[in-house]
Amino acid sequence: MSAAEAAGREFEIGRPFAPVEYGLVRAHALASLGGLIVAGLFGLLVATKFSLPEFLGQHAALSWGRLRMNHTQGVFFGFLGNAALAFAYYANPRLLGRPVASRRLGWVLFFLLNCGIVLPGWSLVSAGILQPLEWAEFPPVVDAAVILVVVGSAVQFLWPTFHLRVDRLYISSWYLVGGFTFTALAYPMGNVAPLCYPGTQGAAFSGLWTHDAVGLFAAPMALAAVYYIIPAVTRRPIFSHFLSLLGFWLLFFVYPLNGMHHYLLTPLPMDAQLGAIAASVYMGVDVILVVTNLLLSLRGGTQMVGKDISLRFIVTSVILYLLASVQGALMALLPLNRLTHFSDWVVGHSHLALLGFAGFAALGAIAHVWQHTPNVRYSRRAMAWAYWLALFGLLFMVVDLTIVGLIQAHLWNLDVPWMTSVAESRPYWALRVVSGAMLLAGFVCFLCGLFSGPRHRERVKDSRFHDLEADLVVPVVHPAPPGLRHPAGGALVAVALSCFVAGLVFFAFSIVALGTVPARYVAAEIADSTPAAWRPRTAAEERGREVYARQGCAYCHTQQVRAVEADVRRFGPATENWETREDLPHLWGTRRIGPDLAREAGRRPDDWQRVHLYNPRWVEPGSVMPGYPWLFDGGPDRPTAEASDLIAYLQWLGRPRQERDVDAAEVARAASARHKHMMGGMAMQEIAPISDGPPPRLDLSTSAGDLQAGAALFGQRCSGCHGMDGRGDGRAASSLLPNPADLTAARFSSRRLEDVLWNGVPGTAMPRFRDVPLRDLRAIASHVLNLGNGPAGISEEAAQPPTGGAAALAHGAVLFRVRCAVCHGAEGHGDGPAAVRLRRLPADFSRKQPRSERVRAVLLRGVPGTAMTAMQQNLSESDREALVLLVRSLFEDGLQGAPLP
Amino acid sequence: MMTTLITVLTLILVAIVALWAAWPRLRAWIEQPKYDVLRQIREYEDAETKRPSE
Repeated sequence: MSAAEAAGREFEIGRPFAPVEYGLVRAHALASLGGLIVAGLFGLLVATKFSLPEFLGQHAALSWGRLRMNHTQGVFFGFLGNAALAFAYYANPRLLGRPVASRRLGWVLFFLLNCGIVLPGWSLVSAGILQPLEWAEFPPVVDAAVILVVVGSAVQFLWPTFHLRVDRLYISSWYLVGGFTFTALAYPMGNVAPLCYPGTQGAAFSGLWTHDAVGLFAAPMALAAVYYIIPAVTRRPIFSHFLSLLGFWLLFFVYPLNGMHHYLLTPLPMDAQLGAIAASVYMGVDVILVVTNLLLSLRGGTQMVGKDISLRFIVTSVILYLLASVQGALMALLPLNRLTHFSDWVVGHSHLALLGFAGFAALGAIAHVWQHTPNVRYSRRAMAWAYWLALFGLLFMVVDLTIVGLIQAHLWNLDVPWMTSVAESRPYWALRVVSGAMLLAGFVCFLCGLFSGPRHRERVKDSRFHDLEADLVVPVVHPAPPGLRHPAGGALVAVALSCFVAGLVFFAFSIVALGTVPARYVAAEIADSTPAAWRPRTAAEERGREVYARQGCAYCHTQQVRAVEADVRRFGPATENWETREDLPHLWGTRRIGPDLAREAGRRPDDWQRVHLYNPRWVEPGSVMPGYPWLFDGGPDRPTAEASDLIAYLQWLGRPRQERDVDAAEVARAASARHKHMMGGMAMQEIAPISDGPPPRLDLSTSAGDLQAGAALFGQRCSGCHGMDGRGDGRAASSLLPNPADLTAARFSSRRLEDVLWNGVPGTAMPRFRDVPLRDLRAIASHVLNLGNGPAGISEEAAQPPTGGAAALAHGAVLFRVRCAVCHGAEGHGDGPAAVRLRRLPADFSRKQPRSERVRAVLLRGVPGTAMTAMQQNLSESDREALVLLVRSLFEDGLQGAPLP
Repeated sequence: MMTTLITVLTLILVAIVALWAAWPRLRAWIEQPKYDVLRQIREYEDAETKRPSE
């Protein structure tokens, strides 16, 4: 035996069998399955709430946002974290011939991971103690435990590496070393930096971590298992160790540069965005290389894929890795990104990557280590069921989400109401529940399979290997080439110098290139473009922002209008960096189930927001948004301080921008600063929002088709407040002050209807409907006009017609000038001297003709919630009748419908 | 900047591949761990077959 061979086999001398901590292997494997099932249950509840928004909706802990946070964090820490450690405890001694550093440390890490991170993390998030950062939701106190576990794991598994006397490592060890090392570095960067840098700058770091979580933890751990299990089961060496190393280094070099592709077409510097796009494409090429190597490694052993359940999971994982990575690279390209970003397509992609690639690899690894652990075996039948249920469930989910993502993207690019995309998505969201249930059933089958296999007291060599053993390639030891040998141990040199130095330098470079430098440019632009009149949020608005973050609003509503035509037309001008200068941490979001809220200020009145928060379906019948009844004391008209703060914050969103945009000098200054500081500079498109301009002319229709369509649209959009019959008695009505209008009690001019639908009614809960296509607005207005002219109105008028003649009209005119003109104006146009001081503008009787009975009722009782008080004490019955006659005579739009009696 | 970075990365990649192609002994050395791991797995299985269970 040569010196090199002796060195290579030294670990066997005196200690031929490094003990494997099977207790820890079993514990982590079971904890991983437990984490997967609980996290999967959270995911199933999240999916169910799309179809049944009020399901379990009375408790903050079970709200959609918090379940969603616990779902992703549970998958990350509970499932993948435990699975990685189960595999590492099993494989590391086999790969290195050395035991792990300490069994006691192993149990400490096990309890720290599960009882210091997973369980407390879920509990704290459920209680609303969290940080609103995607893939980093567990609060800082849990982050400390995460750092301890990652560093402890690095010690546990790197310690034997440093004590090796071999001069090279197998690729699985490279991935384990790299995974623990870079996760230890990336985790603080992703969890701390966004809490230190506001808005756009913080988003740059968040983007880095979102991708590092996958690329530097989930992917390395999965690939470590894949590279181990394929040769272990097929009994053949992998196709090329060189290609595997090439893939390893490319992954660690290129993956960190991908992160910013989550925030393309935002005000982040364009050079950094383009770099992320290039890196994403590079990454796709790298994965093709890795997957080719892995699939070629199956040569001669493909029959084992059907026989060995762990290999079946692993090979499926490899194929899904290819699909997810190529899909990810394509999604980073601007044309596709412009279309699919924020849609369910992205959710399908993340399930394909995290569950399909990393999850299937983890399940394959657990199956493999379980089958090779003393005294336990899995049930092949149950595991086969688990595989097929999980595979079909996953594929079903991904296809479903991809299709609905394309539908959403298509609808968002049309000028149709946001709720149209929600309504079109609902059948697909229902199918998503079915696919989720299949997945969860598969996970439960897997767990049952671990306990229902045959029990063996001794390890029995599996006969299925025998036919392959004849082909087993006999290892030939190749000594290291001169210059690569090192007296202190080649592994130390290889790992410490290569991984820790080169890798760290490149990792640091990714932070500088995609985090620090862009942040510097953004800071300079903010300094030069912030309007002089800009002021910080009030204390109430700041508290409201905390409520917004705590309830997980950012998971359905973005706060970034991208420089994309569809975004600008729908939501308003694209977001600029200075608008985010105080957003710590940023709440940009990555998904739109509801509309973007960056321009929410003034769009909807406070009353509407209150009822919408209490129960969204009361004002928006088709909404899937969860209600937040715990922010109210029993009803929408009794908001707690938290609800009021939240509404104050919603009404702040975009207000500084509105105030800035009326100042032409400030607009020019901001444009100049933007072009001066943006690396590479991307021209912001000057696109007019669809809601700009005066109210459109609607040309009301009386055709049966239009009225029928109008009635249907009225039911969808208006009935929550006005009731199905338009009598102002919808579910939300009792909570709104002033009450919604009884649309059967008056006739409106076409101009009034156009104005109300386009601008809303200030001082009431009536929002503007600028996102509704004109043809739909026309149908709704036609229906409303018909309500005022309908049979109910005519019959009531006929039953009690106004009395008096010209004398009464003249008397009414005198009374009106004395009693009403101060608010309603001399001509009844609602423009009296006091009108400007009123929150709710007085009625304009030239455009609204109330029925006689309605005028009488108002004179007797006033209009609660407005300045209109009861006049019963001051007016005789004849006075009131004279006013009825006068008020109704002021209507000027005689072209719309036949005059009422 | 990013174009430069990607170009440099590609050149490094090409250099590594060229080195690998031109140096057979390095090639054999790099590939050695894939054989070693099979031997180690086999030895573990043999040892565990002989070893009394936990």
